[in-house]
Amino acid sequence: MFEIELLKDSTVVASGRLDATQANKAEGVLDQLQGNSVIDCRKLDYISSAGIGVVLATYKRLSDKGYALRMVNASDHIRQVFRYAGLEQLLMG
Amino acid sequence: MPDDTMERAFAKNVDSLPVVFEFVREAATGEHVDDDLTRSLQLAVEEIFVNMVKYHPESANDISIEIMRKAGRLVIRVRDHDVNSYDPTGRPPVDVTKPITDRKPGGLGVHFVRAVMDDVIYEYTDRTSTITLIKNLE
Repeated sequence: MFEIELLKDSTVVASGRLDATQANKAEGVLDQLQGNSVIDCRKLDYISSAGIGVVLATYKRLSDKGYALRMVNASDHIRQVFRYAGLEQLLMG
Repeated sequence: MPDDTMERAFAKNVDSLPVVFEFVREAATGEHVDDDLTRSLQLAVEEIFVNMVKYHPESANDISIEIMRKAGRLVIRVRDHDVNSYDPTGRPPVDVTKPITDRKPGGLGVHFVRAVMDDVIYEYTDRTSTITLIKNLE
């Protein structure tokens, strides 16, 4: 199960499992981000390449406009997957 | 350690992933397999399964997954039936050291499989593609 919510302060809270069946759902929310943004991963249990792809596309879109995207509170497992992808710089906290 | 094998067929559709994950969890549970390893195994299987769904639509046959615990190893075989030959493991590796601004989304699936598993083998026989994933447990 995967839930994703955009809060008023441009914080996105993602919880559950971001697998290939949920990538479109994640994209629908992340596409709404317009400025400096944070994805709180405290409750994110799992992410696959489909989820990484959506996050990376969002990062690049915001970066092209001069904005930052950070992912915070990632679990050891999520950190490991981002490490495999060479994208650990997206993680802070 | 006794040898245990479980095999199941899944509809060739990404919507099958929840039941695929549950199967992996059920089949892999046991000695030397904790929650973190289970998630990693699910990740490897997802990447292979989704690859077969996306890139081999020429067959609508179920994809079968066999998981065997044998001699201190987990052996996972994912089979795609009546398809053309294509070895996803033969693609050039993604350069994950590139600056993030130069990175394109996509291409990470096989990279993750190689990162998680100890061995990845592709075979093609009688129009069946088989990807064997091996994880040493001891």
